[in-house]
Amino acid sequence: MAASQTPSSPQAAPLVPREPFLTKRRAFSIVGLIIFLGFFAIPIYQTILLEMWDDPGQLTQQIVIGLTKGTYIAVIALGYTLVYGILELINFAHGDLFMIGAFLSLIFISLFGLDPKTSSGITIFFSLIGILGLVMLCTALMNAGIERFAYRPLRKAPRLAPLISAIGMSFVLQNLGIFLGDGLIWDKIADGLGSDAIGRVADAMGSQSVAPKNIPDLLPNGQVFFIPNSLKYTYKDLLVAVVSLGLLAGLYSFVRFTKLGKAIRATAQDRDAARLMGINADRTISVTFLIGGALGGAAGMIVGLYNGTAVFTMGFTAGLLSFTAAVLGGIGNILGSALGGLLIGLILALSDQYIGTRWSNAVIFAILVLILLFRPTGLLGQEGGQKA
Amino acid sequence: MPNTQRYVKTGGIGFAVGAFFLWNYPNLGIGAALLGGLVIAALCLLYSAPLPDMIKAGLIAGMFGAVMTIVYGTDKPGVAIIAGMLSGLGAGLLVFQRSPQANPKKAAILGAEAGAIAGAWTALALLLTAFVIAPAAGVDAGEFAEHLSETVIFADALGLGSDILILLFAFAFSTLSAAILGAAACAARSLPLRPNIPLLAVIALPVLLIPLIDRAGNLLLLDALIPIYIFILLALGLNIVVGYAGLLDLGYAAFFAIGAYTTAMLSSPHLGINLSFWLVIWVAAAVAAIAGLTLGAPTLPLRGDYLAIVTLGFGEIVPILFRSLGGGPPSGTLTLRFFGMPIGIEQVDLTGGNKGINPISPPHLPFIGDFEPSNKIPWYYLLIVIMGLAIFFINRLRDSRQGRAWMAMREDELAADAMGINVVRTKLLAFSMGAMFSGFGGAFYGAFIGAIFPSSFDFSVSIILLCMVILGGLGNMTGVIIGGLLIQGADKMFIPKGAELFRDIANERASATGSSTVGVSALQDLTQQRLLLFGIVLVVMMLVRPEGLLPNERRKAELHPDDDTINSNSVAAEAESDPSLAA
Amino acid sequence: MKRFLSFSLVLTMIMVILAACGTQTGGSGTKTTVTIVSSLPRTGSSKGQTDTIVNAIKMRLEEDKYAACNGNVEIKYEDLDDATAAKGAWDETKEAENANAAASNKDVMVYIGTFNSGAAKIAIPILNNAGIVMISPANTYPGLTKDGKGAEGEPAVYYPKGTRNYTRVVPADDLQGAAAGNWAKELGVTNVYILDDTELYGKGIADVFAATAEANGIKIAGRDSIDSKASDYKALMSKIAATNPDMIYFGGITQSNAGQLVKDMRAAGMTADKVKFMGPDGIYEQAFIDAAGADNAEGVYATFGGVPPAKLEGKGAEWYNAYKAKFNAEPEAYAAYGYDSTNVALAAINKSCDSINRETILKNVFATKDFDGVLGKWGFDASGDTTLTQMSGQQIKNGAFEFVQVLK
Repeated sequence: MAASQTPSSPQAAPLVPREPFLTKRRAFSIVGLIIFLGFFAIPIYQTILLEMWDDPGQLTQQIVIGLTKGTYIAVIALGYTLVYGILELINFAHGDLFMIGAFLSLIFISLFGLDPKTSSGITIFFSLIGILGLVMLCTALMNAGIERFAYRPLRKAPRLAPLISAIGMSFVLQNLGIFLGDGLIWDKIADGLGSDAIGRVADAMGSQSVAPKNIPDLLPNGQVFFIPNSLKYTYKDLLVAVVSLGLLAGLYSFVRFTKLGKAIRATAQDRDAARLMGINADRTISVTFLIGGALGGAAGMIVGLYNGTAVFTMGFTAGLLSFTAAVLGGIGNILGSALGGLLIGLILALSDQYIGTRWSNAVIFAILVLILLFRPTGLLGQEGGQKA
Repeated sequence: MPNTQRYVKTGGIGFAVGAFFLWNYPNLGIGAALLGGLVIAALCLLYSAPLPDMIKAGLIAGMFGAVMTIVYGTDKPGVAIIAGMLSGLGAGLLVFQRSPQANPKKAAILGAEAGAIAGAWTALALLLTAFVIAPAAGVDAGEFAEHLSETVIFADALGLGSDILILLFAFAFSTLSAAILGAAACAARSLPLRPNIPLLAVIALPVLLIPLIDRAGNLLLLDALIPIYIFILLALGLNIVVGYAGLLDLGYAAFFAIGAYTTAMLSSPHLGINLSFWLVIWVAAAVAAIAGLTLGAPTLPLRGDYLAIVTLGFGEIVPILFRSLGGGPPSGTLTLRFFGMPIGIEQVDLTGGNKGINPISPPHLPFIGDFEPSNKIPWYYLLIVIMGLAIFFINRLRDSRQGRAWMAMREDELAADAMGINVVRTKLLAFSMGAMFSGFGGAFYGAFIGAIFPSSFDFSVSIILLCMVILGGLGNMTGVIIGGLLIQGADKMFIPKGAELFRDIANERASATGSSTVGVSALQDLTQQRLLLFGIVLVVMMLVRPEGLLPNERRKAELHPDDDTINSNSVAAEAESDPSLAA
Repeated sequence: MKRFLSFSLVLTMIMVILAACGTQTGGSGTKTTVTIVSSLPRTGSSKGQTDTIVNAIKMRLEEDKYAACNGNVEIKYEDLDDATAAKGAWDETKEAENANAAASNKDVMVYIGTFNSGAAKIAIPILNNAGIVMISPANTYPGLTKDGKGAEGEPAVYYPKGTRNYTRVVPADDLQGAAAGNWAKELGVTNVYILDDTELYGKGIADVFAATAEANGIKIAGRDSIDSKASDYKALMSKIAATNPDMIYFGGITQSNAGQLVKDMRAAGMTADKVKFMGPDGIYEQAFIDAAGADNAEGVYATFGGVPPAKLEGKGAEWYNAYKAKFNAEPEAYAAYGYDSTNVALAAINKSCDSINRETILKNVFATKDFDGVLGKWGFDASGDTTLTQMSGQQIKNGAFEFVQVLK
């Protein structure tokens, strides 16, 4: 088992002596960076800093927007980080599972007939909690199923084989998203069963399967701060942040303090040794995928309700950002993912304001390169090793 | 008996899939569904059964030919001949892989048998098309006969009037050519030569013949084949980075873009520079190689997946750059402040932004003149030459001191460093060499399409290339080529064509029952399920061959300790055959 | 032994099948066949719009029972996909392949497509050499047909044979962008923020809008290109809100996340009564309202080349009702374009009954004048552009687009 792993395997990690900071290659890259920054980038920084100075209110507003976005990016990033920690697999399908989560929540919301205009606040509140549970359950089972059929047979395969399997599953899930979004199919089912509830789903999906779907605005929209013309911060933002942070804290304490969490950490550190200690590695991995899937589904519901949209391509973008967040924070590290998520949300918002939306992705990756240059294993990643 | 369980599993899954599929197309009927399910179940069983090597090799290779024949056969039955040749060649190589022979004569007999089975298998698919699928898809007998006489080569020359005769001729031709190619391939492989020139010649024969058959039968396969070959060329370059040097690169499309854009800028009216393609292709490769160095430099301290994400970042940034360097609003004049002083940067239209750059001048040769977009044959041969050179050079590179340094670094970077390998230089060279070949690919692509757009170089391109490399078997050039053919063939040929075929069948059913063709159910219209099909293809391919199609032998031994009959000789075979095949 | 067994097995199977089916083949009567192909992105995010186009094409062909010239000509239709699954969007090589396939099939005489103007750049030269007429239901990039409106050398570079073979049923961006710019002035807009989706269509139309608006004395508060794949635009909308515009113009289509833009715009406090939102015909479809949510979309303006389907008279009204009955949905703008593309193609074939070939059909498509289609009375000018320069302005009221006025 150990022999088939690539050289970056963590087993070898403790043997690596700490490198001096200024190695030859780091010197190379830093010199290149200084040239780049000096000639091209200083005027840009100058301009941005001056703009920030000019309007601190706007800056605060953007920071708040960015941090709120960051919390849900962090939740998606956790799914990547968990799976990576235990299998060293970049689970490309996770972003699409998140998308399925958004679709499922729209389906359940329509099934329950929730409507911000007619339903009472208490019904909405309790139904949403129920729906969150249902969505998490569905995506958790789905993720565990994917692991069982697409990744487990590849446990002993070369490290990159499951990656391709994951990419394949990502395509499959995207197509599933198109199916779920096809109002005509729902119409047929509704006609067949004579069910009004399913008819409502068909209405919510519309006639174009690939078009973005609108998720009703069920979260409270009032302002938290009562001073007019000040910071815009709604209860919706607050709720998203609180639920996301709650999930983060819950997961952290689960992995940190429970017996199963310990098993997960042990399996992540050394699967064979964990097995020798009497841990059922396959079961532990299944549990990890269950948790990852539940988190993905929860994130899908949170983002779906927050942004009000479900579309079958949403998983790709969110996945890319979240995976970047996970790497930025040090992949395999839960707190790192949270930090990375917040940072990416922040960068996105600030870049939208001061640089331009179309550059935002470029800015994120540029900053990522910059940070990894100085901390090659991410912000909170362990030097030399790659796991939590 | 673990085997019984295996048979039940594969047979059951096969039957379920086949029956569901056919049941979904009611004009084929319940009988057809049962029969189809049984056939597919039988195929699955055959695949998992310990049959003699030659039958198994023939069946596996023939499967490829059969699928190709079925999806194309309704419109272009002549494809069966090309499919037969290719599957015969594949069968010959495969059977040698499974049971190597030292005696060329014996090898030839074995190869001929495997090839004949593969060819006959393909030809059977043609008959199936003629009598079952074509009528179901709404092509009546007369129309099919017309297609037959149009696309089956030599049919006119031999004066074959009747449709049955042409079918029989195609059947015989396909089987015979497959047997001959199989025999030749198997025999050539048994020759203890290095480099194995006869083997190369055998492989080159159908590759070089395809355009001629295509032209004679008006099959139009080249339009799909050339892009596939371009992607294979790119995958070969990526193989240097990922396969040899072990650096996971998720942004390889960036170099492809750089090569293509260099070509576009230097040989189009866009910037007023119109250099000859023969010069530009070298410039493009050089620029791409330099870009590989530059983008490689900042990644030097990174390892594993941290490297992957940074390369992914470059892959995202480069198309954004090309998109944004197009001048015009909103980026006309960019005003920045440098310590309070305003600086206006007038943006030049370098890349055409979203409009892309067109037209890009095609290559020009004496006698042939400008390469025409409508005549694909010169393009095809030019690409074959480029690929041949690329394969030759990459092969030499792999066996050189540098190549061994890459592999040492891949296995253990620290140990390689300790043994005196200059890791910085080795890594940078891997990046720039890999990028260089994508520069060639990009230059050819630009000239071939005649227009480029920033959207052609998305993340999806990098991912598909990576799939090709990994499926083929990391670091094995032959594997990468076959993996590329399969994945790109699935994406660009089999799945779209097959989906169209099944949609036609569903439509025919709808019009036969008098209902509208507009409301064909989403489940029946396979064209709506291409993402699903492609995803399943990727997953199944990985599950069937987790180690890649042609892995290195050490990994295979680790993975299949129980495949005793196949394993013992195939390990020995691969050890000697792999380098000779790729030579 | 096993080898012989398998060989004989294969041989018997062949014999059985041949014997069973030997009687099936036979000739059939020769009828002239004209194949109409469409080449549209049928996989990925543009599938929604292309579905409506293909539906409309099929609907038109079914009406004539896939026949022309009093049944002497059989019409066949092939729905080609110029997208690949791996890419999820149109693909250059696939478009070239489709065009080449059409060129080499002698029955193909009409090519309906493309959807993306970039794809047209590739297909036009190939089909120009083959002399096949193209009718695009969706391309709006001006440089494809108009001198001086695109890049240098356009449009001559697309027509290697020197003659035109490309027509389009939709008015080009330069007309619609300008009409939108003028309409904004009429609506009393003084400060506009312009967004585009970085695509050829969206950015092109936004550029024209920006130029017209500036000429009309409207202040441009800012200009941004959005990333159409982003999950939300809250930060962008907060930035825009800070510039206090009274209108946001978005050059783009529903699929470029126009719905999300409107949602986040409303969430940022830019309500319909304070800040207007305007877009081109790319958002003039029910899917946009579905995506944005009826509440958010309320009050959004959209321009459209021609009169909207529901306001059509005569033939258009008939079609409108037939479509509604058939698909149980409001016909979209794209459906009308797709329908009329097929309409002129069939009319041209019916005019060419004496000599069915590419040349005649091409000539007759270009000769389309005062054609009574569902879009109104229109035709093609010499460069292949539609004569339908009349633009209409729509606004969303009570969750549906409503015709407001004719634009100049």
